[in-house]
Amino acid sequence: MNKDDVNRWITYHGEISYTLTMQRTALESALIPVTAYITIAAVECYRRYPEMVQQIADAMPPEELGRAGHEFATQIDNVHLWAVSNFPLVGRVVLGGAGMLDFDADAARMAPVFDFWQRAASTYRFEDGTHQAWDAGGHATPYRAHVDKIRAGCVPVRDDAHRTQITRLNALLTSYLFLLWFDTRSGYQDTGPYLLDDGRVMLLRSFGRLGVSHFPWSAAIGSAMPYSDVLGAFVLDGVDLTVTDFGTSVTHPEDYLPHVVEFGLFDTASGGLVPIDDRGVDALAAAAKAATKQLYRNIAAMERRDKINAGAYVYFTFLRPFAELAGVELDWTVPRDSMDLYPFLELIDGSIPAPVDQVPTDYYARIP
Amino acid sequence: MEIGRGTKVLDAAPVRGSWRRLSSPDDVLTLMDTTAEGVVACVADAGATFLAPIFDELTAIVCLSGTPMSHIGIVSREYQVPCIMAAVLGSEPADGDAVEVDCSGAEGVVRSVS
Repeated sequence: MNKDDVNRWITYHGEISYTLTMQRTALESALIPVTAYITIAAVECYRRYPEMVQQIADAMPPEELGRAGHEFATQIDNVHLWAVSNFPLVGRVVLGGAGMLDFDADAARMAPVFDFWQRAASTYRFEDGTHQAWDAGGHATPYRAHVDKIRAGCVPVRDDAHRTQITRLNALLTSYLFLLWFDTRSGYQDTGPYLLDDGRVMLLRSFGRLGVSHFPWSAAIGSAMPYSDVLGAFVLDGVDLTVTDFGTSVTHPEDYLPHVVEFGLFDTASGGLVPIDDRGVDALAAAAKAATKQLYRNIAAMERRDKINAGAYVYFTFLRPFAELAGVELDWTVPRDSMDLYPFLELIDGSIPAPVDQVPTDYYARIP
Repeated sequence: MEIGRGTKVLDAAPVRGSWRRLSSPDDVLTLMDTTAEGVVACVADAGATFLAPIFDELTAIVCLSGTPMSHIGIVSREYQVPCIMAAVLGSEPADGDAVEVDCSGAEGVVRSVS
């Protein structure tokens, strides 16, 4: 991959990420210094991902890793793929702003990252010529081969009480995973629309790593979770559905929950689909509520620097599912290669303003 | 009387509650250890985590930044809690004042209730 190829991918990602950022605009939290940890993680990603993706690719072809995302609970998904390219690109922005970007070495650093990403993204998307949901008008259907089995495990929404049960579980898991993942939306991922024979559409929502995981803070609360990975299936009537490359659904009407006509919940930790009954749904909801309260208390008691380091770890380890599937042991210590900038970056307080005056294709600077 | 407006996350009928400006995790922990029912929470930032343990109890949320696609907007959608994003307030109520959050029109509107 030469410099022109690298610049082509820089421009491609810039336009998409500009739009996603403008839609989201703000991400700071009064609990967690999100912007500070993102900038630190991004610098680490720019400086370390090029070597790490090569080690992973040496152990398993990226194409094979992309295809692995067609199975459940792998965490090879929209946002993890998006992050492989975009976190180093954000790191470029940080380093460029500090006058520390070496353009002479830049193409050589980004080329292996883009090569890994585009090969994995291509097979994740069934080699249909697209690389992201953006390219396909907001469609991402990695679980298409499982749709019939999933639909067979769904049940009609019986009454208001049943709808309330579904809504509450969904909200509690979503909120819990935002917290467990330090205010990233990557713990749960939406895919779809899966078009059904009767004209309805299905939204699949993966809730991942609910229990004890490699996140050190999960040890204190995760063991009480009755399931580690679950899949929620929402059959929607009268809803237009698309998904973003952040793995977030966009629906018309916006309030899709009253339009859920069938629902199913499955334990996917083993890679299969094991239906979860009503008692399991209630147990999971109660556990998520309790875990959220305790985890919030634990995070609130952390020092600011510990919060930054924990958040940076979450971001930096977006590459970890690929390494684990490939069987590669890598150093996930963070911060490690951002210590020269760390004293400045950790002081960032509040969101960086949305790039309203920027040209989308210039969101990430091309290599001169 | 209208005191502010912004972008609504979802259509929702007007709800009334007690205004509470939440600025730190300690504010949230206090409500977590008592109750957040009946509270209209006003927050500055659009992250999802700040209100996590009390989200399901809140009557409504008024966020002074962000969009419906910001994290707090996404979670309020899932909880079906009326939420206004990027709200601009003419004057901010005092903690404990009765307010109405109306997401039934094109925009979300905050009104004082006398």
